Amino acid sequence: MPKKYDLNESLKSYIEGRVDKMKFDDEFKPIVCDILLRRIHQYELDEYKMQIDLACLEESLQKVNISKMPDEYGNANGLYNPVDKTITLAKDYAKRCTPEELYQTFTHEIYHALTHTQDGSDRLMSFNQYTGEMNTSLLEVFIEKASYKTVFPTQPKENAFINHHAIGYADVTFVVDAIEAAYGVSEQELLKNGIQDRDTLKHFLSTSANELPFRTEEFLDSLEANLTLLNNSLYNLDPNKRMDFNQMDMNVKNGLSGIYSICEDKIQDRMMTYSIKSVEDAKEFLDRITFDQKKLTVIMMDRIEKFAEDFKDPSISQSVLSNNMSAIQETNKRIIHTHEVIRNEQNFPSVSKLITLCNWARAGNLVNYDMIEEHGLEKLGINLEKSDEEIDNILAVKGSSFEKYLDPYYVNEGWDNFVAPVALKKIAMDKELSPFQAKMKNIFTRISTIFSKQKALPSAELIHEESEAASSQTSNNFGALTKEELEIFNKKVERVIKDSKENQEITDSQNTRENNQEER
Amino acid sequence: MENNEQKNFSYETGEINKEIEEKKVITKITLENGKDYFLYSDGKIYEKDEEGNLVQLNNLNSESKKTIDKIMNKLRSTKFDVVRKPSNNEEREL
Repeated sequence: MPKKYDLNESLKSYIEGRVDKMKFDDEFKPIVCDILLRRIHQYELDEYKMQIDLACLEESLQKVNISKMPDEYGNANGLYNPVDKTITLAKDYAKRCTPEELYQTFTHEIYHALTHTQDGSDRLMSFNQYTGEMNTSLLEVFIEKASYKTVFPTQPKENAFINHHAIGYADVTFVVDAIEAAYGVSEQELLKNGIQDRDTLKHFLSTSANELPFRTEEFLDSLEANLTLLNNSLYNLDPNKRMDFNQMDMNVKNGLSGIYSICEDKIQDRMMTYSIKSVEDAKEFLDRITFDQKKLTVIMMDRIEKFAEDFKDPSISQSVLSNNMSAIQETNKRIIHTHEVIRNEQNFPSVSKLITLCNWARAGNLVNYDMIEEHGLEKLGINLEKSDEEIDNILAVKGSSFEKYLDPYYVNEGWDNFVAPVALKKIAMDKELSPFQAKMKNIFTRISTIFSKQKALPSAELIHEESEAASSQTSNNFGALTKEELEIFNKKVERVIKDSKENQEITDSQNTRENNQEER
Repeated sequence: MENNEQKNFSYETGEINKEIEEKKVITKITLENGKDYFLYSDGKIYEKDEEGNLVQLNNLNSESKKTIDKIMNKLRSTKFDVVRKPSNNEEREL
């Protein structure tokens, strides 16, 4: 069963009313409404957040084009330009892609428009303290991932740890997964906060890790600097920044190494700074950290292998792994040692001693404990020499069951993509028609719309009730017909039929002329 | 464990005070000539001398200034948007 996201009729008609007053072309309005309803549903937006979105969209979107991309963006599928407040979907892409893909690209661009404020600034953009620049790398991957989730289903069979599918920035959206692992947060919560603004994202992450906000800011800025290295190599449209293959290859190695290292550090930070309250708390925390470390391993290995394959350069894997090996081993050691302490829970004389040794282990210092208490570890049954098999039992990725940490939103059966995405694709395909074909198609569409609306008309009593209700609302492109509207539509039908006859006469006379010319 | 962390380690409770600031490497940048540079959390660019010691690039020397600009340019967002998934065969020829 597809997700039900448009069942709240009053919300739906409110959104429709607001969108109807917006400046961009009417044909895109029902599709934009659908995008907004999906966003509200998927990211559980409250009234306040929804109002911010709508206010931004009113100001920041004036036109939607399906046309050739401006030359300087020749390689892009979609573009939001905050200066002229226009979304452009590339015509050739719109023609060849699936309705879902086109709809997702449009959603991505709408999400950009939603975060642009009246003065043209972007709520998601942030000044990067290390590069000294406003940086867009991180916001793009958040928007891509968030828009993807509102169009495509996620199948748990694919991979229980990651969801790296995307259309734009497909190679780099793994960074969102990596943040999830580093902070131990769910995809749903991360995206929900990540699409609001940078401060909201920062607050969410710092609260979940119980760290000072400036630490989170450091994490995000350093991650973004490395992501920019990747982006500038893979998605570069600036002719002044063209680089050769070796330079791209080098940037990929450095960017991936940096991202891996920053996330690994964060897991270690979380291990050290968490305050263990009880034995149960220690167990739960250890389970969580173990899951996150495994998740990070899967995410990074997946990307390292992918880039090594794409660039046909195995040294990418070697370089990234060797740069991070000592940090990975350090995290793994701390996890395994903490497991070993908890495994011997029954040998501890008190809870406080167990917690103290957990602290030694998670700080990476357990090997030194015997210096404080001679044979202290042995007396507690703790053996830090672990076989590969024992280590695998704790940290091997395959065959593990961690369902309780999987995001319930992770698994979904998809969306109903038979209406809005198909309608968008139809608009795109109509742009391919000649002006005359488009006019004829438009006439027939208008006729069929009018007849289908007439068929759906309720009884006279209901019409009366609805017309009273309608009088208190703004009329829009979406409402049912009132008596007055029916009369107007009847007149329109007459006019459309008349137009159609006139057009037919024009076509006939054109055909006659063409035939005469051919005969001559 | 790094020295800073050992200094902050409490032998009584096994906990670490993370509040002491330490300089961290943010990213490594390799230039076309194959030389490695490092952006650190103090916002400065360093290279390693022959003995592996970090040496800060100063922006007084015009050559160093040029190198710093080149490095920082690689860390600036370029203009892009939902770009096609790159086909590396195509991209390599650019």
